[in-house]
Amino acid sequence: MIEIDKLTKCYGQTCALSELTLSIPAGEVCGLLGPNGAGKTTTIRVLNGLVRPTSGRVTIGGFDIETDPRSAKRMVGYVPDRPYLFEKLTGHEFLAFVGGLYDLTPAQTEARAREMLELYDLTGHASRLIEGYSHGMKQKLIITASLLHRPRIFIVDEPMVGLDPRSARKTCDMLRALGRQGVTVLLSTHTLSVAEMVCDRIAILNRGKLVALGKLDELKARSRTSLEEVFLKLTEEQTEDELGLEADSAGSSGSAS
Amino acid sequence: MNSFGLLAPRLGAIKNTLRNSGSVGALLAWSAVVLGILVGLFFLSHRLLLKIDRVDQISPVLAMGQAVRSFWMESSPTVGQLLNRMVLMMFLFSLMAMLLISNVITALSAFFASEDLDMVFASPVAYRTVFFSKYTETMVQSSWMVMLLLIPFLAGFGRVYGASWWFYVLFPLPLVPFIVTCTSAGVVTTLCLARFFPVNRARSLLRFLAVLGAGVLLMLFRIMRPELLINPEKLKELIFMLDAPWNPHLERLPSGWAVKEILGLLGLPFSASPLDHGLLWGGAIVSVGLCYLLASRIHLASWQDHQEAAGQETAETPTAGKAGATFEEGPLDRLLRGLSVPARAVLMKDIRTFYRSPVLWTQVMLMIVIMIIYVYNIYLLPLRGLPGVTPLFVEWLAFLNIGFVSFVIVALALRFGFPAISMEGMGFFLIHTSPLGIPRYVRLKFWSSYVPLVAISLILVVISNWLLLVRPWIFCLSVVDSIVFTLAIAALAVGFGAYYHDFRRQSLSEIPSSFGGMVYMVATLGVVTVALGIQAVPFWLYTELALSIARAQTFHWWVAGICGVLSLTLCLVATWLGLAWGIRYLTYLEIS
Repeated sequence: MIEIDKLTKCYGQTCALSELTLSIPAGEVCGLLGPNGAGKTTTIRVLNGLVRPTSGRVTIGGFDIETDPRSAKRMVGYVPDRPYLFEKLTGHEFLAFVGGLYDLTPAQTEARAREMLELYDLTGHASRLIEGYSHGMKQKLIITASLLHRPRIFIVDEPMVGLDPRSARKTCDMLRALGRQGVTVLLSTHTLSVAEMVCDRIAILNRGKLVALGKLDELKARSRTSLEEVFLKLTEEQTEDELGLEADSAGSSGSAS
Repeated sequence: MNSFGLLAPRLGAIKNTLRNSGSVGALLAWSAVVLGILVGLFFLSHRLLLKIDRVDQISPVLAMGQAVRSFWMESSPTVGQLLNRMVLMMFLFSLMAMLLISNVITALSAFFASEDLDMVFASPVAYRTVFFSKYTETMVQSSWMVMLLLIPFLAGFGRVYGASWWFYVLFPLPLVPFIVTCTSAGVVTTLCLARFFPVNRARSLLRFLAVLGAGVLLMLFRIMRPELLINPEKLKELIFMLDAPWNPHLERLPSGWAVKEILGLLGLPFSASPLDHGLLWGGAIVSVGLCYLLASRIHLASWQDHQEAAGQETAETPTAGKAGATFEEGPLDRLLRGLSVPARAVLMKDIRTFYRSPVLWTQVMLMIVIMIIYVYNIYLLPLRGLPGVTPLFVEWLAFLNIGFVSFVIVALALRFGFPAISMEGMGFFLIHTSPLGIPRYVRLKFWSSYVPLVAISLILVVISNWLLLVRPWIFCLSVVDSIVFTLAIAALAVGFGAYYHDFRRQSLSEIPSSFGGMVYMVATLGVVTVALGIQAVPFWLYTELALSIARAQTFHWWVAGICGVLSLTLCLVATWLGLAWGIRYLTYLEIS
């Protein structure tokens, strides 16, 4: 569903991503891990068409994000790392607005929104202006909004920030459920326990390069330790060769360049 | 840490903004514009003050009064000097009122709504340091523009009375205690207000009242019909009014003490007494002391109350009214049902954001006042029964009126069309990641600007032409021009608004006064002027024919046709370019 082929993104002289190649099939929940500045958010922004690649190609559900962005965007639900919303709207109005952007009828929006608002205990708050919401409430509202059009691909950047434990657990359950329903999920997170709990496969980025890709057990088996240890080792100031790890041998459908 | 240490992040932010503001050319252009305005103000004030100084040469009554005064008091000031003193007194008094309101609004932000207060109050910094940093921030933010305006005005004073160079060096000195006293009064008012009212509501209310006051003043000024002062008898009435017995009260205010010091520097016979010096400087020092004493007692407690109230508001504020309480469609949704679902969604979001933003409403009020004044000006034109006011003269007036109305529409587009894309803020990512598509979004923004703008333009044109009693053909031309010119005005507002977008700006009212706003204004007025200039060619031929000053005996319709097509083409090309530019720019915009 998501095909990233030799994706490079440079900002002036600094390259945030360097020849990243990654393939995520339908129904897979893929976790994107990496230290700060590794290129996770840049990858996600390129996938959503918010940032243009310097070189390389990205296809979403078979549609090239550069040449056919509208078809690609129709399939994607996106939750950014910071919940920027329209503060002067109520929760209901915001959801109606987002539903409208995806061409949903008011009845379709309402049916889906009620279900999601219920899930996140937001029903009682949805009639209030968003400017009065806490950070966590905004995060829950934007997750709700991004799922209104029942996307086939769900891209989430740091979804747990600001969520209370109960909501975080609900989000994890929801992500797993989405995977089971055949939705492709790409999840960027710093919370390794969340990645362990939710993801079918994990990609680790460091300095704009894919340094490891594989199922959780495969990664753990390689260093015979926890995911945290694997992560710390892979993102140290060392080269892949020194660690004895070859990212391109890690997964069947992904490769690091 | 001292107070300047607390101000360092703000100073650093200003420095970095300037450093990263892009081209040096833009900065130089900005500086040139500001300098141009200041020089213009200097010449304007110099001319005005000079006229007033020589007022006794206008009216024989005043000349006689002056002669009597000179006979009795050898060193007495002239009538012109007295009047200029009163002008300065009233000018500084008005500035004092403006400064007071501006300080109250700024202090509400600095003392209660500033984002750094959490960190500052949680740190072991002495309250004195916090107070003086916030006090300085309030004073500089609310007074720098007033100071900038005062410089050309007072320099004009110096020029009129032949001041030596040290006047220009020393005249800012008396303004320092004047501004300090105003800031203290503003901060004290804010502290008292915040003790009893929620900060956000107080700020909105004050902004609203300030704009309402400005609007009322503008209306009053126009209704006074200042153009009548060209008549010496009317001017005499104004002078007697200025010299009315209530005026000495102005001398007992900080503005009055500052005026006396400034005039003393000029060597005019109104020098400040030692008591005036003491009141001005001593008053400023005492006001800061009192302000600090009050702040040290109630600021922290008020801020804590405000935090608690904000938390409570988050937990309890019910709804934005019945409309947003459910998914049910309101009357407006039903009214827009003819539009596509995405178009309706964007439009409804814009309308809701608009009517819930008090900042925008205050701007609407000012614009309404300007439009009323515009129509009133047309109404006051002395067109009935005066020699020289021929139908041809009225037609020229109506033709120029198209340009004036376009100017009003450009000003409106600058306020509401140009910031339309920036108003999305960082929420623009929702538009960008949705399948709505940038071309469709830009067209939506264009139509949502064009429809209200063309409606206002037509209202102004129809009313003004009706008041001017023009013939049907010029009436039709005005209507067609309004429709076509507004197309270009609205499209360029969207194009320039996209290019000069600022998704992170906190205050929406700042967007029109940005560099991009100035460029938009100049470019759009240029297009309108050229389009109207092209149409002026056949109009001039028609005038020559009507006055029989041309050799040609017939009106060349083909010239009118070519000019009409050229003018129309220019506007349509500008419309297309504006939209295409906006679409292209936003399509390739990277949001990081």
